[in-house]
This record gives sequence, C-alpha cells and structure tokens, in this order.
Amino acid sequence: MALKKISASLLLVIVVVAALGFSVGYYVGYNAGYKVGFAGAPTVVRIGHLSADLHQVPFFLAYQKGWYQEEGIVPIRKEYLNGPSEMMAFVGGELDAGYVGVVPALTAKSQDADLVAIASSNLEGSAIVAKPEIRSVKDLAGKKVGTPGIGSIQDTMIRMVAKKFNITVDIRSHRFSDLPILLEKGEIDAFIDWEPFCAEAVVKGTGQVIYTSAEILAGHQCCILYVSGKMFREQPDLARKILKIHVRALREIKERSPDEAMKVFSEMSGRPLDTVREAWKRMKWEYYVDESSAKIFVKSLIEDKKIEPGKVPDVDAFVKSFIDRKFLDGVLLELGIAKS
Amino acid sequence: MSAEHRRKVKVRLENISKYFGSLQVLDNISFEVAEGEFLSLVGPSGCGKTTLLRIISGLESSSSVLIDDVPVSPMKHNIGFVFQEDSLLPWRNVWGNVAFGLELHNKLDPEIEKAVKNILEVIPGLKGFESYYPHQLSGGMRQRVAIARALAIDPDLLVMDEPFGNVDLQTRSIMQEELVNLHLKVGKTVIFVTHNVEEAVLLSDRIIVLTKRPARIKAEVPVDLLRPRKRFDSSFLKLRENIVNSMMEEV
Amino acid sequence: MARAIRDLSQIKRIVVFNFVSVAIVILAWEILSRLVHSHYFPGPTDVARALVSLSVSGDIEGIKLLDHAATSIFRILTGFGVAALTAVPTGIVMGLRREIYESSKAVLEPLRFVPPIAWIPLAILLLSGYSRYIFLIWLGAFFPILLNTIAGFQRISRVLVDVARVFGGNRRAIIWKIAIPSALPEIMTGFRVGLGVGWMCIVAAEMIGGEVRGLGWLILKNGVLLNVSGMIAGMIAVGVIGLVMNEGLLRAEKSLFKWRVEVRV
Repeated sequence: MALKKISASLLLVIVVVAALGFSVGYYVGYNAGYKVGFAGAPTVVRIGHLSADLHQVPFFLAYQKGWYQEEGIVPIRKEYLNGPSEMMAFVGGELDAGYVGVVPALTAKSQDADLVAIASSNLEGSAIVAKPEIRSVKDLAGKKVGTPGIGSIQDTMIRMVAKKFNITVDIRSHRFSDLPILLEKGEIDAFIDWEPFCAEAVVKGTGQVIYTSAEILAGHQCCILYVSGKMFREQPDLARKILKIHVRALREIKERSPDEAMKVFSEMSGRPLDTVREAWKRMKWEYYVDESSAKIFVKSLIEDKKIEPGKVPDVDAFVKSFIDRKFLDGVLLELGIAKS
Repeated sequence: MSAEHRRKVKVRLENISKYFGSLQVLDNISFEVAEGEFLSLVGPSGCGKTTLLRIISGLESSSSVLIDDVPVSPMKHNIGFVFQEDSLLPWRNVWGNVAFGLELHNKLDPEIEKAVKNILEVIPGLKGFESYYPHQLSGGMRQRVAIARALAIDPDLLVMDEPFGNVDLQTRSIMQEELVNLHLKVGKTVIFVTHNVEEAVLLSDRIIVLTKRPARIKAEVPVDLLRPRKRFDSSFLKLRENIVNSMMEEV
Repeated sequence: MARAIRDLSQIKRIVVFNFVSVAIVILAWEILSRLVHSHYFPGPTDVARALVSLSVSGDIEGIKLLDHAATSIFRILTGFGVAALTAVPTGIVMGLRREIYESSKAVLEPLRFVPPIAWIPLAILLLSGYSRYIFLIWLGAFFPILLNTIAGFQRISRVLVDVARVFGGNRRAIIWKIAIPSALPEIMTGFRVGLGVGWMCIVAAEMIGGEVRGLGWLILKNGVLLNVSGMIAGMIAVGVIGLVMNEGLLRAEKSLFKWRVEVRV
C-alpha cells in the first residue's frame, strides 16, 4: 500500500517537474523571438556574435552601454566559437540578428539561410602570424597553419593565399583562442585568426605578423551586421533600430572615442588592454558592405566546393540579394554622417 | 473418524491426465475429497505432484476438477495455496501480505482489516509482527504468513505444496503440530502434498499414494488414528511402514 | 541497538575515509602543481580562489556560479523528466511483451550506440535554444531508463505471478500489484544512471556555444579566456552536483527499497 503511494508520488513528481520545466523554460524567453508587444512592452531580439572578436566591437560597445535598452529592445546575447557555428545556430532558428564574418554568411545564404546583411562592421582585420623562423608566406609551404574553423573567413583566406603563392599548406582547425597557445607550444607553425589573437602572439613575442589579410585582398569585407529575412520583411522598423544602434557604435569607434571602445572590449572579452591596442592598428572600420570582395569570396568558395555552383548561377545577383544599402543610406543621413 | 467425513463431496477429480509435449506426467487420476477432510498426496520426487496441485488449484487449466460441482477457477472459487518456495511479496509487510488475497478478491477495506486481524489471532506466533518485512523473518515465520494469507480469504480449498520442505526439522515439527491444531479449529478442506510419509501420517485423514511418472493412484489409505497422534506409537509406525513400502516399490 | 551503533561507526568510518582521500588528492595536486609550475596547471589554492570569485562576483559577464549551476540543473531536470515519461511506459510495454522489444531492436540498438555528442550538429540545425538541450539530455537519459525498466519487468518472479493468479488476480492485478512493485527498484536504478548520463550530456551540449549560461558554457568560456583555475572550478562544480544528485537518488533507493536484501560478503 505504501508502495503504491510512493510510486504514485514519484510519477507525479516526474510529471510535474517535466511539465513545469518545459513550459516555464519555453515561455520565459529561451526561445523567445522578437515580438512587437503592447505599447511599451520590450521587444526581445536574439543577437549572435563571436567570442572576443575585435571585429565586432560595435556590438560589445552598444551592449555594454545599454543602447539597445534605450531603444526599447531587450537583447539576448548568444556567443559562438566561430562563424560557421553561428550560422548553424541561425539556421536552427536561434537568432534574429547578429555579427558574423561575410564568408560564413554567404555560405549559409547559398544554402538557403534567410538573412540580409544591412551593414558592415569592419574590413580586413585578420593576419597570418608565424613562428619567428618563418619570414614570408613562401616559407609556409608544407607547414601547419591553424584557422578558427573550416568555412570561416580566415580559413577561406589562407586557402586563397596558398593558391596565390602556389604552395600547399597543411591547414588545421582549432578553437580561435587556442591558436596563439598552439603556436607558442610549437604544435602549429603559423595561424590566421581574428584580432586580438594575432596581437596576442605579437605582444607575447611568440610570433610575428608575416602577412595581413589586407595584403591578401585589399579592402576586403570582414564582419557584417545581419538580420533575419523575417525581421527584414515583417519588422523593418526593428531592423532599422538595430542598424541605428550599430551605426552609433561605429561612429564612436571611428571618430569620437576609440579609447573608450577599446576599454569596453577589453573588459567584456577579458583581453588585456595593450593587446587590444596593438590589434587596433590593423583594424579598419566601415559602414558599407564591400560588394566586390564579397563577389571574389563567393567565386573562391565555389572553386573550393564550399558553395554549390548550382545554387549560385549568378554571382552578382546573389551578392546583391544578400546586401541591403537602403536602410543604411537612411540611417547615415538621419545621423548626419556623410557617406564615407 | 471416517464416518464423520461421509459428508458432501467438496472436490472431485475426474480422469485427470496431463502431457507436457509427448511426455505424460499424469495418468487418469480420479479421486474425491470430502468437505473438511485433510488429504495428503505422497509419492516419489518428480512424479508430478506439483503439476497435479496446479491443476487442482486452477493454475493449469482443466475442466475435470470440480469444487462444489463447479469447474475450478481462481476467479470463482476461493483457493488458498501455500507454495513451497518463498512466496511472500517482499515489498509488503506481514499485514500487507496477509491482506493480499483479500485484496485480489476485491474485498472492502473494513472487511479486509477484520479478516486479517482475525487470522493473526488464529495462526500462532504472528501477533506483534504485523509491520515486519519478509526479509526480517525466519523461514518458518514466512510460511506461517503464507498460511495466514491462504486462510484469510476463507478458502473453499486449502492447497499446500510441501510447505515445510524448506524449514529446519525442529521448526518443522512445531509447525506440523500447529497445522493439526489449526485444522481442528478451522476445519477447511485440505489437499497436502509431501514426500515425507511421517508428516502425511501425522496430519492426514486419508493418504493417496502416487506412482512414479506418469503418476497413477497406487493406493488410497485412510488414517484412522486418533488425534493427537504420537509418532512412535506402534500403530503409527506400522501404517507408516506400509506406506513407505508401497512407495519403495515404485523406486 | 548494538547493530545501530555498529552501523553508525561504520558510517563514521566511511565519512572519515572519504575526507582523508580528498585531502590526499588535494595534497598531491598541490605538490604536482608546484613542481610543474605552469600557468596552465594551477594548484588547489588558485582553484579555490576561482571558486570563491565565481560564486561571489561571477564570471567575466558577472554571471555567478550559482546562476550557471541553476541553469544547468533546470535543464537536466526537464530533460530527465521527459526521458522518464517516455522511457518508463515504453519499457513497461516492452518488458511485458517480449516480441515488441525484440522486433524493435533493429531501430533501438543503433540509436543507443550513437553518443549524444554526435547528435549535436544535427540538434543545432533542427532545434534551437531550450528544446535543443532537452533533446540532447533526453538522448542520454532515455536508454538507461528504458533498458532498466525492461529488465525489471523481465525479472519478475514466476512464483509471485502464480500467487496473484491463484488468489484470483486478473492481468491488471498482476501488472499493478506484482509487476510494477517488483520492477520499481530496477526502474529507480535506471533513473539514477539516466540522470548521470543526462548530466554529462548537458554539460557537453552547453559547450558548443549559444546560450551564455550553464556550467558547460562556463567551463568553455574560461578555457577561451585561458583561465584554467576558472575552468577547473567549473569542472568541480559539475562533478559535485553530479555526486549530490547520484547520492540523493541512492539514498532514496535505499530507503524506498529496504526490502531488498543486500548480500554482505
């Protein structure tokens, strides 16, 4: 008899816990997308970004300063280990907007991911850092080079470099933060990563920059700000707000108070300030997405079979459909920033 | 003594034969048991006694076993079965186990409570142990609980399959005496299986001797000795010898 | 009475032994860390400091250790609940009807051998957020519970079934009064194992990125920041919580199933 009670209560506990956990978790906003609620009710936006990626300082700055909340937006920050991972999560329905490298974004779009690039965050900003004994790119022939992951812009660029210099390189994927350490330990001979990790190796003295991404492809697009196609079509005002916040942040970074931005980034990412300063030298901030480099990337990706040629019959049209300039034109005008 | 048992027939077996595949275990067994009679079935090990018991109690199907002229069914009849092996529910205490049969017969709680209390008075040695669990009891105690469980439902027939087989000798004699007294008090119809002839002679009103496999009825021996029976009485020993010899012929 | 005293001193002995072994491990660790003397091999004092700092002031985003732990625990409880709710009824059906179990083996067994971690990329693409964690935990917890439930039902004693039948029990009575109480200890063991596996899954699932809360994420983040003490602190939290959950269920098992005789050698 007592046993009946025990098993019944066990069952009840399981049911209650499961049901409660499920519904509470679901509605408390883990899966909340953006919604326009009642007047005054905050809008929740899930924004993705990459860990400690200096290219995405506008996001860090705006997030830290509470600019999203000022516009009535509750940002839910989601952090990823590299661009392709962020894109996987986007496809899974986890994000409404975010910052990511243009290469993973283009790759995802070619596989029918529904996203629109509404602004650029930065151009260039990556570099190949190598052991002291390796002086030039040609010396990389047959050596081990680490990247943050297959499908990242850094990975794509090292392959472009290898083609350009007609050498074969042993490309290894690692976690973005491990690359400087692996170089120090000698497990890899060089790496290409986003800042501030290149600067980290330089400041530590374990490596030197032998080739910047600007030298690989001058003025190339790096990180972009994107929103989901759904938001772009159904809630353009919200997209515009997010863009405005981004532009405000970029302006701070470009013109008004880069020091402040550096400090915020250093705090949020845990990177020492002098490393950030060193990395800042290689940073180029830009509002508009650079179309020509985007097209070059797409062609390279098709060559490397990362994009199916069947999916992108017309590269120009594809890139055009990926980028939107109209919102940016409007916002820049509104904020009184001359087109740069 | 036998005259008293010329009462109505409680249990009737008609031509019971049983095969397991092509192996015949029981061969044309028929007998009757009078109401209130204590009948023992003895026979060599492996002769099929347990199978016969299972048929009698309705665990194996058969239409040739009648209780009160109705084909036996555990649903229709109250059958109290005391197994040889450990048969108590380990997750229930003594009270819960004794009540089990009553529960299965869908008796209401107040009824159950009354019946259990009652039977715990009747069976010696159980009072005070209601909240004990089987693993805390000795083998003898457990069988007492099994007997209590079987009697609690006020059975039409009490079937016992070598209930004292796994109990040590000393406890065994004590429990045999208890069973005699119990039978005198409660007066149920009992079919008792054992291979221990002394036990059968001690307890029964009648003994049926079975042959080895396939089992047939070899002999029916009424036991007219006065109770309380003394194991070392000459008449006791003589009867016992006869039956043992009868059984030895089978080996 | 004497038995109670004997038991008590045995419990005391066990507790003391446990403390001693922990102390030995910490001592050995301290010595080793001093010998190695690397930033990447912190000693117990550094880790203890990290534990305190994480609890009090939180990680780099200010999220406290307790928040991370609560998030992970919340997820595991839900996932485990779903696993129990699906695995137990399935296990009962399969345990009672052997044919169903045997005929579904072709589907179940391969699934069972795919580690939940291997499902992660698929889970990222198809599910998002909370449901993804629940799915991954479910994958880990489902099979232990299912298999234990089936085993529990297959191991029901024939004698007890006979008892129920001879006393007039129908099939329902046999299932509810004999089968389920008989199988319950096994099911509980399945729960305990499932919870443990599920706990390991959630930590792995949290390490892939996305939600910035959870013990798995904390470990990963500290790894990214090269904060090894923080990493180890996170790992210790994972281990301790796992231990507590396991012990909790073990205690519950022991008290619920006192009637299972333990064989002491």
